Amino acid sequence: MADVDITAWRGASELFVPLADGVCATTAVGEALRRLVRERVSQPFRAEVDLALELPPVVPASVATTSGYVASFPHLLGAVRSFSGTRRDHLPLLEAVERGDDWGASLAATDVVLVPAACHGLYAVHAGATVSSMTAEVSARCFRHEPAVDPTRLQSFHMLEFVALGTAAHAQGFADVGVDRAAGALRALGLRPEPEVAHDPFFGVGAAMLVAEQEAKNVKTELVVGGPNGPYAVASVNRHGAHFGESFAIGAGDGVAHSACVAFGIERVMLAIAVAASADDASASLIDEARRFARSAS
Amino acid sequence: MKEEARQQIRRVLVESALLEDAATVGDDENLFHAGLSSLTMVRLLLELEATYGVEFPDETMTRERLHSIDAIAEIVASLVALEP
Repeated sequence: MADVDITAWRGASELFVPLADGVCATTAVGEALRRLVRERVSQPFRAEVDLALELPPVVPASVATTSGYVASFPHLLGAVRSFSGTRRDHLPLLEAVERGDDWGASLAATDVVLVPAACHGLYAVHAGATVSSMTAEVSARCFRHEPAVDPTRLQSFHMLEFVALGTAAHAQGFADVGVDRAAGALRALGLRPEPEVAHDPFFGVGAAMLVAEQEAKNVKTELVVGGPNGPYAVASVNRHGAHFGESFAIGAGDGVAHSACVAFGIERVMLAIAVAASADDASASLIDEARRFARSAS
Repeated sequence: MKEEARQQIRRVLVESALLEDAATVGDDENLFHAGLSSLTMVRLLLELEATYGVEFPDETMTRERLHSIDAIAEIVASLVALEP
């Protein structure tokens, strides 16, 4: 297993320390920058946020089945397993570990999974309820099982989402201005995002059909920036329609709740800032601010 | 073969409760118009792949190609015919 390779990402070594495929620790400067990024990209949305949620790293497994994540993205899901055997079962576990064998067979599924997407927590909180149209800020450390040496594909990363939940008009209106607002927030950090029609990475036999449908319906728009390994998305705007409202039995107005979200991949934004800092004053001053904050906090 | 595939598709639709009108929907009727979602179609295709030991190629994965029981049975029959 090779570690994440950040050598081509100028300035990234000040922010991240590779641990394994798709896994990085964050330095003090990186942590300070993460907070700054969160604060800055929130600005265009802050005035309308009715509810702010910080999710723990896990959610009930039922959230992942209800949302459809298990059905559509089983290859990305991380389910938490633990040892729940007896004293008699302990020995086979120890022996497997000592032999260097697969010891996962000694573990059993728990009732929690690692958070796959921040906004799912919002729907779980309102499951079965009727809501007034709202905008929520939801932050989570998410997990996606896609180990890679490319630092834009971390397995564990921070996702910050602004989510409109309510009537169809509310969700639609939010998504319609979402691309411009998110792009504006990213430009203020010194980045040059370009919108692109995109799709989710569905698994299995129907993937091609689901991808074509998403693209035809303009469900997902990504904001893409250039990087040493090619273009990559730092944010996305997603129109869910009534999918989550139906799945979680959330009502709004006279019918089922609709939703839409603007999602930022915080570590990806940080990588982009690190690269841009050599040529852009806004990015460079953000890194400087993060350095000052890290020094004053130590 | 095609007739057997038709019956199997309808059996899966009914027994797995994938479509409310599964027992009465016409062989040439559009399943998506009848209320079948894309994800439910995926469920049906997985059942058929397991039953017949075939894999639906990506180029068949469109709502147009998979629109009816007839259309799906046609694909299944052609895939089974290709099996060694």
